[in-house]
Amino acid sequence: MNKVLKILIVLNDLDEKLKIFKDQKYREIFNISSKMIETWEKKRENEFKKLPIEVQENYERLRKRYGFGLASVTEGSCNNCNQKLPTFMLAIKNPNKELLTCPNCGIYIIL
Amino acid sequence: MLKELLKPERIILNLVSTKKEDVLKELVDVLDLPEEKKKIVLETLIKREEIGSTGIGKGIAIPHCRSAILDKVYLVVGRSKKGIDFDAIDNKPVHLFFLLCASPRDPESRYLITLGKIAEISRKLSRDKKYMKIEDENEFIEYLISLEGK
Repeated sequence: MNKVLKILIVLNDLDEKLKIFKDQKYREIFNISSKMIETWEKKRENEFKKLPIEVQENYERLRKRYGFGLASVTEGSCNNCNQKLPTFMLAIKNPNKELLTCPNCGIYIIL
Repeated sequence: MLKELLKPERIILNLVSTKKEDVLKELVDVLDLPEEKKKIVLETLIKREEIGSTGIGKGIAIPHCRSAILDKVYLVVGRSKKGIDFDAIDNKPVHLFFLLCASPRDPESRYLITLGKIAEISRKLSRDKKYMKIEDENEFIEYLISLEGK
């Protein structure tokens, strides 16, 4: 798998965890403290720094726009914008070895 | 809500695992996903457990994650009669697991609502241990659905 894509998967996971930590009810059910959140914010920061600058900027821009910067593909369609990907993209052997974006919405994709 | 997510093929009434990571793998294995994606989901779940156990006590755990590699909400229920050490908050073995995995694309906050619902059902389950006796997947689903309405 592409190195940057691997980092994006981890980063996306951290972002989703931090998002859910904001929910009071969730914090109560699972006993999440402010200290735990701080630790994971630092982890997120460290992971983010591993990305090339242009990917950092793009990822943050996508997050602001869509709420996340990475999406999967189902039956040939991007799970963010629901548009079909071009046939040549779907025909790529080992597609996750490359860092691909959806030609329609620009989100990073994992096939 | 749970009715849509509970499927007989995603109910494991006799978990064989005895360790924390193994039980997560056993639960993830049921998902109809390619191996590479299952591995990512498993890693995500393990990382969540590092924050703090999702064993909420009284024999119940709710491991969960939201991942970009998923395209829908999955719920897997697993039961271990023997119980598994899951570092639960009350340090007691866990007998019932609700694995919830979803896509980050969740405009109706279904993921959070479902997590809340499961936690609510878990409180009822901990008072009534009938779930340890049922031996049929469909009956087990009916039982969980009946608790949701109570």
